[in-house]
Order: sequence, then structure tokens, then C-alpha cells
Amino acid sequence: MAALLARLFGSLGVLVAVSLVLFALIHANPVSPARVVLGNDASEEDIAEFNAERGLDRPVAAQYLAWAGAALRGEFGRSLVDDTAITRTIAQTMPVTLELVLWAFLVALAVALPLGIVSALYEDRWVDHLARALATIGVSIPGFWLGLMLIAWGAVGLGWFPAGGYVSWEMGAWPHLRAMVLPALALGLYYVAIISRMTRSAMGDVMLAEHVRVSRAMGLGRGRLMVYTLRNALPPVITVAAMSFGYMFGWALIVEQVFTLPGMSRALLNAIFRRDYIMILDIVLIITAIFLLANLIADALHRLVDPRVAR
Amino acid sequence: MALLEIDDLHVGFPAGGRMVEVVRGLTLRLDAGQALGLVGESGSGKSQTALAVMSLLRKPLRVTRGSIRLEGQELVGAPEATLRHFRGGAMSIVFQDAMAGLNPVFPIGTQLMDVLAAHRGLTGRAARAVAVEALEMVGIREPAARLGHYPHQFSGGMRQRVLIAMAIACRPKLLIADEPTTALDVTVQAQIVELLHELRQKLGLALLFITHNLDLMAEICDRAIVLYGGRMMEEAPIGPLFEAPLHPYGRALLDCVPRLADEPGALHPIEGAAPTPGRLGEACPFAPRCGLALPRCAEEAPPELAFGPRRAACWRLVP
Ligand SMILES: Nc1ncnc2c1ncn2[C@@H]1O[C@H](COP(=O)(O)OP(=O)(O)O)[C@@H](O)[C@H]1O
Ligand SMILES: [Mg+2]
Repeated sequence: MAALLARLFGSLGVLVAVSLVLFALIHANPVSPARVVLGNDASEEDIAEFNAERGLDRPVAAQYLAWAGAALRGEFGRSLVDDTAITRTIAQTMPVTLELVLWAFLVALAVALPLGIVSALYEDRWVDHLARALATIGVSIPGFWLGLMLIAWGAVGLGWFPAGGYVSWEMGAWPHLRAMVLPALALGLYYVAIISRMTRSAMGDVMLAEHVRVSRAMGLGRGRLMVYTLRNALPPVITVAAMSFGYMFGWALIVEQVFTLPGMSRALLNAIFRRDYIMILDIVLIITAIFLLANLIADALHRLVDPRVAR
Repeated sequence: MALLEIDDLHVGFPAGGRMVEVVRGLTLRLDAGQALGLVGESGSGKSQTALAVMSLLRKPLRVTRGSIRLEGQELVGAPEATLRHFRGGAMSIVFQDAMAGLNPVFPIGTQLMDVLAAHRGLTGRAARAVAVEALEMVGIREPAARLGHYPHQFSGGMRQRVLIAMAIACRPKLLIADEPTTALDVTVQAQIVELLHELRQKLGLALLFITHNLDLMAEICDRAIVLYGGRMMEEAPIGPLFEAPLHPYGRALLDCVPRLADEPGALHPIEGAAPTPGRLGEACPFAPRCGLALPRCAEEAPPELAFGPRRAACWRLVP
């Protein structure tokens, strides 16, 4: 428990460090938001006024403290460009991205774990070869291209799924979910490959372990043997799954563009084009926080699975 | 009918279009309650014999010929379900690597009780009681409290005791011990051998005790088979074997054991190296290192000769 708390504080430290670095980078950038918003013709006075209104004329440290204080209260500040509340923008776009990633993650786990286990059990048989082929394809196809292929197949060809766009829950659960199928597949396939390969190799290693030989020598049934092996193989799989969950937020931005989903990608791209620094900072920090949270959960699961880590 | 009957056992693996044999024509009998030693240098085929009996040979290796019967029931080629029933039930095994032998992520109580569930259908409180009893029997103190502990909370010697408890929990008739003390501290070695001796008497176990340590074997076994290059060299009761081995290899093996009477520093290692499987032709495998070898020894395998309770395979003994 103490170790877990230490990890939690460590993660908070990382968040603070990342925000500091981002803040510093932003202020080292020569193009000011005032120039972007007001244009090249703006006079020095206009720019000074713009900066004063938004507190950009204060020292960087003061700006950081003001921002951090608000962020702690859940106030992510206002857009430098159009003065909208960033918290609201995030509340609108974040659930879409989160849902996409969760579905993709579930798809990845649901396919990868059985696939990895079966191919370890039937090493070098046809299932294993099929899984390996799938994994090779999975890691080598770029996500956006896979997205286009899926649209051509599932939307244009079969007509089972919409080619893109978001359908809100209010329109009914089925239409909503149907619109998420192709994006989730496009995002998930790469991680099916990664996680199933890791599952297979971890299972393969454990199956050769001395304690598994002992379990067989004691006449344990298939089911028990499976549980004995799998639990030992879990730690590396948990690590890879947690990393995958974090990375998915990065790739989700591209998949959202391909399927025109109104997730965080649009907000982030807009912010980048418009030099809306605070917005960029907030979104990147939220993604960082999710990444750290996934790792914390993985850590807790490790402790649950392996008594040796618990001490 | 003996408890364990092995006839003309061959274990090998295919390599380069032919079979490389690591056990070659082993025949033995082990009666209920008896203790038989299997001795020989490392690589002589002791472990593969044990694994063949348990039907646990690892991939390329397999039984290529011969028969292994437990209480008259053929084990070679038996269906997996039958073997599962025998393993941990009527026959059990303790391996060398006690440190790695227990599953690190389950409490030892769970591991013990799973064996009880598999063979005796025991669960819950009944299984617990038997598990505690088994741990007690192998000399683990406060067994009830230890059930919830994980392997990493035990020393190597204690882990071997837990593994022995698992092996005897379902009252096997045959216990194979494959170098059960080799990986342990010298002080612990004697304790484990003592424990096996005790269990054998208490439970009426037949013991197949595998070792390369003749002194340990002498403490516990009634009889021993000397193995070399996958072949039986000699079989004899312990007393006669130590007094007067019939086979030159038995003699050489005894000479390796330092005696108190020896002057300090006097070691008599066997000259030359142990044979590589696959390089063995039909000759006596010991011939290249044997001081008494005849021309014939390098050409033709000697027949097994019986001398009362003893057996030996050596051309020197052929009248
Ligand atoms: N998986 C394997 N593949 C090929 N040869 C093996 C394998 N395992 C063991 N051997 C060989 O079988 C022979 C007998 O091994 P083993 O029975 O383990 O000897 P020991 O008497 O030391 O227990 C050795 O020469 C070893 O090299
Ligand atoms: Mg061995």
C-alpha cells in the first residue's frame, strides 16, 4: 500500500514536471497568440492590450502559478483565441475520445488474450501460424490506412456500418454503437497484434518453467494447469496492455480524423493551428494524466497477481 | 508381480535422420516398499528414465521401445487421462530444483490442496486438514499457519519439504526422487534424505532414489543400479556393491568417493570424459575409459549376466 502511495505521488510529480516543461516551451515560442489572433497588421498597442487582458504580460512564473492554481480547482482556463471556457470544450470532446479508446481497448483484449493463449498452447500449429500472420499484418498496417480499408469494406461494401460521423446515445444505443465499431477496430487491431504476441511469449516461457512440470507431475487437470500457467504469465501482459491503453490516446487522434469523430483531436488540432497555448497544454496534460493513471492501475494489478511484488 | 516393472526401455530423440538414444535397454524391478538407487555420472540417463516413468519426457525425447508397468498397468502409450490419474496418485516424483518447483504466485496451501482435489476429491475443510497433516509429516512447523504462505517465504530446504508433502499427499505407492538434495546445502541434504527414509517406513513407499552421490544412496537404498551411457552396468544389493563391485565402472565409481582412510588430497577421478549420446555404437559405453577393456568390448555390447541377486554387463565376467 505504501509503495502504491509512493507511486501515486511520483505520478503527480511527473504531471507537474510535464506541465512546467510545456509551459516553458510555449513561452520560448517566437509566434505569440496575439499575432495569430490580431494578424500581422496589428499595432503594438493592440498587442499590449490583448496580452494585458489575458494576463500574458505578467512574468512566466506568475502565469504558471495562476494556471496551476485554477487547474487544481478543475478550472482549465479560457481559450486565448475565442475566450471560451476550456473545461467546457474538454467536457464535450473528451468523452468521445475516451469511449473510442475504451472500445478499442476492449476489442484488443478480447481478441488478443484468447489468441495469444491458444497460439501458445498449439505452438507451431495452424492457429499459431494464423495468429502470427495476423500480428505481422496488424503491426505493419498504418492506422489511417486500415481505417480507410474498413470504411471501404464495412461501410461502402457491406453497408453494415456508417462510413464516419458520430451518433449520440440519445439517438439510440444501437445506432450509437454501430458508429463506433469501425473506429474501434481501426484503433484496436495494432494492439491485438502487440498484446497477443506478448501473451503468447509469456505463456510459452511459463509453460517451460519447472513449477509447471511439477504441476503436471502431480496430475493436475487441464483447467488447473491453465490457471497456474496463466497467472504467472500475466505481469508482462498487464504492462503491455497498460502502455497500449496510453498510446491509444495518441493514435485515437488520427482515427478520429479518418472517421470524423468529434473527439479531442479536433480541439487539439484547432488549438495547434491557432496557437491556443493554454488549450494545447491542458489537452496534453490530460492525456499524460491518463497515461500515468493506466500505469498506476497496472502497478496495482501486478501487486494483486504476484505476491512477490507486494512486499 | 513387482510394483514397478521396466523392460528393455529405450528413450531417444530423432537427429539427422536417426534416433539418438539416451537410455538403452534398461530393465529393472522395484517391489512395493523397497528402495532402489539409480546411480551414475551426470548424463548417464537417470533423469530421462525417471521422466519416462512419469510420462513427462520433454519434446524431442520419447520412449522408442520397451515397457513400463506400474502394478501391471502399461504406462507407455497410455492415454493422457490415465497418466494424469497415476501422476501424483499412485506414483509421484520429487525433482532436484526445489527453488523453482513451486508456483510463485499461489500460496503453498492452494498448491497442496489442488493435488488433493485432483486425486482424492477433497475440498474445503477436509482438504485443509489433510494438507496440514501432510506438511506436519514432512516436518514443517506450525503447518496450519504456513498454508497461506507463498514459496518465496520458504528456504530451499523448506520448499523441498513442501514439494515432498505434495508428492506424498495422495499416498503414492512409488516415489521417485531425482537428485532431491543436489541443489541444497550440505547440512540440509542429510535432513532431506533422513525425511525420505522416514516417510518410506511410515507410508510403505517404494523409493526410486536417483543420485550421483554413493554415500547418500547407501544411507537409504536396499539395492542399486549403476547406469552409464544410458545402459545398466551393474545391479546389486548395497552391501555387496560397496564391498566388491563386479563391473569395472562400479569399481571406478567407488574409487572416486574419498574415504577417511585416504591420505589427504588423494582423489581418484575416472580418466576421460562421459560419453556423448549418439556417439555410442553397439560397444560397451565404458570401454574407452576402462582399464580392463578387451578388444571385444569396443565392438559388441556385453550380455547381462545374473549372479544370484546381482546383475552385471561386462565381457570380463563372461566365462
Ligand atoms: N531435451 C533433450 N534433448 C536432447 N538430449 C537431451 C535432452 N535432455 C537430456 N538430453 C541428454 O540425455 C542424456 C541423459 O540425460 P539425463 O537423463 O538428464 O542425465 P542424468 O543422468 O544426469 O540425469 C544426456 O546426455 C543429455 O545430454
Ligand atoms: Mg539428472
